[in-house]
Amino acid sequence: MADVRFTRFRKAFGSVEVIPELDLHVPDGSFTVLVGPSGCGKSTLLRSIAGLEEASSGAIEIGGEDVTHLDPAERGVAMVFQSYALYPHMTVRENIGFGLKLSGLPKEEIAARVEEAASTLQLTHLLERKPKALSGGQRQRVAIGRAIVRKPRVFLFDEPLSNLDASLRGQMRVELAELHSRLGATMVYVTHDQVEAMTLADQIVVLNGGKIEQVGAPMELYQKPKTPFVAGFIGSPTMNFVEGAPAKALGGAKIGIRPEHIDITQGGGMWTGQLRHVEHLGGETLAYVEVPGIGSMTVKREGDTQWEPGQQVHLTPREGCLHVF
Amino acid sequence: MRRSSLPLVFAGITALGVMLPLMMMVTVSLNPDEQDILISMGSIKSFIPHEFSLKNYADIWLDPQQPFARTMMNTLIITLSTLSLSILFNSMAAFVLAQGTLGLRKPVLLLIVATLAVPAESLVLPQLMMAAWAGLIDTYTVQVLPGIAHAMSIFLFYQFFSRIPKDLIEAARLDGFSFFQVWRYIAMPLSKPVISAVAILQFLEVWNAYLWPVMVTRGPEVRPLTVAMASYFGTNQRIPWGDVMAFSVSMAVPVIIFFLIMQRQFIASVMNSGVKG
Repeated sequence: MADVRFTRFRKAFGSVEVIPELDLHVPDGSFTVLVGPSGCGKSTLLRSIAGLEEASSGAIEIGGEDVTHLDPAERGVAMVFQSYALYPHMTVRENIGFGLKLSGLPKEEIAARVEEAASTLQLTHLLERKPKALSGGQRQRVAIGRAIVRKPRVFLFDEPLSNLDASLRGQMRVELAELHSRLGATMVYVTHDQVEAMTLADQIVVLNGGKIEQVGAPMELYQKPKTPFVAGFIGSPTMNFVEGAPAKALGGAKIGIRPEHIDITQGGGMWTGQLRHVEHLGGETLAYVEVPGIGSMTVKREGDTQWEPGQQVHLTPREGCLHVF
Repeated sequence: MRRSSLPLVFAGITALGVMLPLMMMVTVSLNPDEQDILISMGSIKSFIPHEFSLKNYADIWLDPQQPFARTMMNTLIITLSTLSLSILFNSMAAFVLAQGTLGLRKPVLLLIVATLAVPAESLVLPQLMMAAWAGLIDTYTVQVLPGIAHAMSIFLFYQFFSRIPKDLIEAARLDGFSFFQVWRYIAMPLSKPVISAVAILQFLEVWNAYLWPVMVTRGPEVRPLTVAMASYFGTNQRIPWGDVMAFSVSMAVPVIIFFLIMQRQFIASVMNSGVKG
């Protein structure tokens, strides 16, 4: 296990600067999630740790050792790819153990390590199958197994769940969290899904245009977002923003209010609006309200409600839950 | 006639066009009577076996002047050596061109593909001079060497290797594979269909080669089947059609067996080249 440290790291592809100079520390044993929209540089940052991208300048250290110019295999990292990247012509056993075979480990030790990883990931009964005979979730587990057997200092995950369907994604999320607590290893995880980021991370790094917007624990980012970008990216549904005169009345140039922090009543609220659309999700209900002078606002309520589109409603932001930017 | 049966009729006519010469070859090869062969020539009789004798086969297989087994062995040695070396070197070259990091890969590939436009015949004289200079005339080596570097094989391998997902190569690099090991343990096991395609194409090319072997061989020691067969036509005597056809059948059988072994992979390769963009 080891920490990862970027110092004045910069990455450019030709004349295009993808990641302007940044510093970042991934603590030893943490589950750090790099999150941001497409093209924000999160995958590039992860691939740089792996050594699949070279730094244009600056340094990367793993466990205090400068690995900036080391080959991927010499860095002591293992990576799980979005596409699983399993060797199609090898069985699950060979897929997991082949890297160890190349490194010259004795056969008995390879077999033992493969068995151990397979039992950790409940793959023992699939060891002789080829990847094409596995489901998406099983393939992802094999990819994780291939990473585990190498006993890496750092695990890297590049959007590993995005090819899975919603229910399997939820299940794998839990398995990954359990794996992290069992191994206690440093894990760096890239995703554009803020639910994955919130549920898995000890530390979230929000990236935008190659720059770090904010680093912090999930609830810290939710409760105290430093920028409107972070406020808008973390939390579902997205935060509402109020600007201009209504914002000034609340004490700022731009005010953010989370959908779950707005009270909705039939009369006597701060703003009056018309219900444009209602989404009944079972456990909760989302109301989209058009407020003159502000625009569309989303309101979230626990349980089911009797709201009807077209209805006039009054909205009041809860005191102490405003985010002033 | 139903519209759907039309392609079947065309396929039947095409198949007949391909099969007729083969039927004639087999029919004549089984007929021991040279007179009868000449009389039947041009009639339906030359396509339908009516004699079943292996005399012609015995003639050519046991001919002391021209040892058939020896020439067959020569052809096999030359073909299989060329094929294995060609697959080894051309796949390596293609892998570097497709997945390597060296500059100038595209221009080099273009140059290699451009050589496809150069007629092989125009290269024969300089090659002959080089072979003579190197003292390789009348050897297996001289018949194998020019066939090893093969532009079409490189191109076919290149097309396949450049479609191997980037993630797979990167996963292998993280697993500690060297560039050579990625080729050996990932790229080659995955490219069975291309190996079959390249093997079939080049097998036919080398098996049927005539111009180059006839220029660089002197005696029967290293001479391949094609050159041996030509000797039947070299004199002013009457052509022994029965022997010629028995020789042709004997020469064609290994090719057919080889194709049957490789056909499934070959067809997969041809289909893939159309489906996967």
